[in-house]
Amino acid sequence: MKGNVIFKKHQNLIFSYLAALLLFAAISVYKPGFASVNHIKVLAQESAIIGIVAIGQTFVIITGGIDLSVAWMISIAAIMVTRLGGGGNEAMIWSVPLILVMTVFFGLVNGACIAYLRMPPIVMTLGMNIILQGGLVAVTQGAPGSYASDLLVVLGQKAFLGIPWLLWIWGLFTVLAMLLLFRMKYGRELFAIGNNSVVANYSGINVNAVIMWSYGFSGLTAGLAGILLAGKVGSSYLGMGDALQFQSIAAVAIGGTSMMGGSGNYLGSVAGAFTITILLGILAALNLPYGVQKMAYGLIVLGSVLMAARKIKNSR
Amino acid sequence: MKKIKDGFMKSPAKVAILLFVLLEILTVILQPGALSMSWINLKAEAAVTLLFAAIGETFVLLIGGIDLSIAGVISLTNSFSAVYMQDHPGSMILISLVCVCMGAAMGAVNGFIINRFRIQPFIVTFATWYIGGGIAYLILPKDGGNVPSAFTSALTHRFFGGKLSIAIFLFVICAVLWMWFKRTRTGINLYAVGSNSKAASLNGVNVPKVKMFAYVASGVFAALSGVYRTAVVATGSPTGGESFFNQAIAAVVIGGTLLTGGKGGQMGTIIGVLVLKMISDILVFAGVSSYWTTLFQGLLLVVAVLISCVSEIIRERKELIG
Repeated sequence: MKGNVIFKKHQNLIFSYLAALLLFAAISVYKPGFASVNHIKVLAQESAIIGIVAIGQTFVIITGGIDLSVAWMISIAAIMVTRLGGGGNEAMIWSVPLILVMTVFFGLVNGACIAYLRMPPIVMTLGMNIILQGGLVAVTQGAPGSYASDLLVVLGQKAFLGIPWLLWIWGLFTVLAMLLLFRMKYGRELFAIGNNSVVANYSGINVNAVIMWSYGFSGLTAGLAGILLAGKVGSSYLGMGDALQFQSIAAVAIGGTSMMGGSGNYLGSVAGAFTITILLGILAALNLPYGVQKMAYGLIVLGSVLMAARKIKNSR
Repeated sequence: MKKIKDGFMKSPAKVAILLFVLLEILTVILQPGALSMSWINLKAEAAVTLLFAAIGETFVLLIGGIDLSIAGVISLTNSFSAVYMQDHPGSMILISLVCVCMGAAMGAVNGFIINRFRIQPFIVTFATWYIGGGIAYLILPKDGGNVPSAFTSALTHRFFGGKLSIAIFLFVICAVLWMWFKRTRTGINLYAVGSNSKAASLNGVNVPKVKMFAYVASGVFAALSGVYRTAVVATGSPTGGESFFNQAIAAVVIGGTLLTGGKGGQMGTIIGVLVLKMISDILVFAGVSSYWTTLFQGLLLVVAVLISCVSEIIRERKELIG
């Protein structure tokens, strides 16, 4: 009886993980090299970057918004971390905090315009994305970034105790995100606002501030992901975050977080990040053209949103 | 005179009209040739692609929705027509019609999902944007295609010895059709659903049908935009439509249509498109490097929406007090 209740409560989560596992099993049978230890490490590193961007994206989507500015926040963070102070290990002591403060600031600007000035999230964050893209292109005059520092390369490519550094970092941030969502006041306020912001306002929650900070968090995780991505790739270039825009949203959607806001779980987004990486691996293994990948993104998001909508209908 | 003044002050497009006049004066000062008919024809031709995209988006914004998939539809129809069109009038008409049907189908899918499952429009059209863009990549993996030159010359034909281009007619036709359409039952219903869909429903408006109409109209106009882009640019691109969503939103908002729905219209949008195009021309005249144009596009979008939202907040405050 109790098991049944737990299953019902975490149905979404269990389904997301089952989907990832099933996909993985299917492709492993088809391509035996897919399940080798080394390849799993590569997949995990790929998932870690998507997963870290998805932390902030989950927060924002729980409030009923969306953040379309992560793409160029990631690019800006990656370009800056490889260029500031020559991009060496010593320069990172001041460049990393500076970059994170900057991306949080951009996120807060998004959030302030959305919460206090009632701009639609999709237009505001898309506009911010274009501004960041234009600003970065104008400042760099289109020149590519440079190579990542040794420390970043270690964090992005090497392993500690047999597990990639990126997974350790992702794990740490997953714990922090889960604590914030389910053990702290801020998390409860996020869900309350997503469910009904008017009621949340009457219950004494500072709705605007909570929404503003959710975009701030999204800026923070996007900046962090950009820095780590530079290490994983070994260098930086303009537009390196573009793919992560849709991947992070798809990860959240697959993970069962409602696009209407009010319900969700970051652990679902973790499963979503794995699913996306495995799917990308499958598409690459099958040698399908880029168009199929793009269509697949659209179909995945549409499918998971439709499934979530049906569930809401059934529960009524 | 007072009547004209009142009408102007009440018009949601008043900011756009003022901007239009100011920018026109600035353009003429910077570039004295800008009053010639050949210049105006050229600019009108360059603006029609955005005009169609923005008109489609206006229908959806009027009912309080949003349609990101226009970017996908423009890329798709642009690629499709650039690849499959043959140098034969029948083929040109047929391919254009197929494109319009594709746009209508995409709009119908959007409308159906939004009506049936009550999912927010932004996420549905976000997904269909990628699906459309993906199909465009499958049809045409790289910029190119083979556009018959007869198609280009047909859509950029000038009447009266090169005096009047088709593009100017298209602007006028759109304006005249809108003047008629906004007084029809469907036109009035668009505004009713946008201001308060519950009240509209209680008054017997078939809300799902109106929403469906808006999304199909948006798809059809996006398809027209893609086909026109094929003719003017004489090439296809799987990413040809990517920037049109934000440009269209900027044009519509400058034109005075509210993103929350129920207020605005196509006359404002038409002027908004012209204003947007003039701003980018002035940047060129002023010698701004092309590296900065993306930044200005983004700033323009955010500032236009910001002003619209803030003035709406101020208006609501005034109503509360008054």
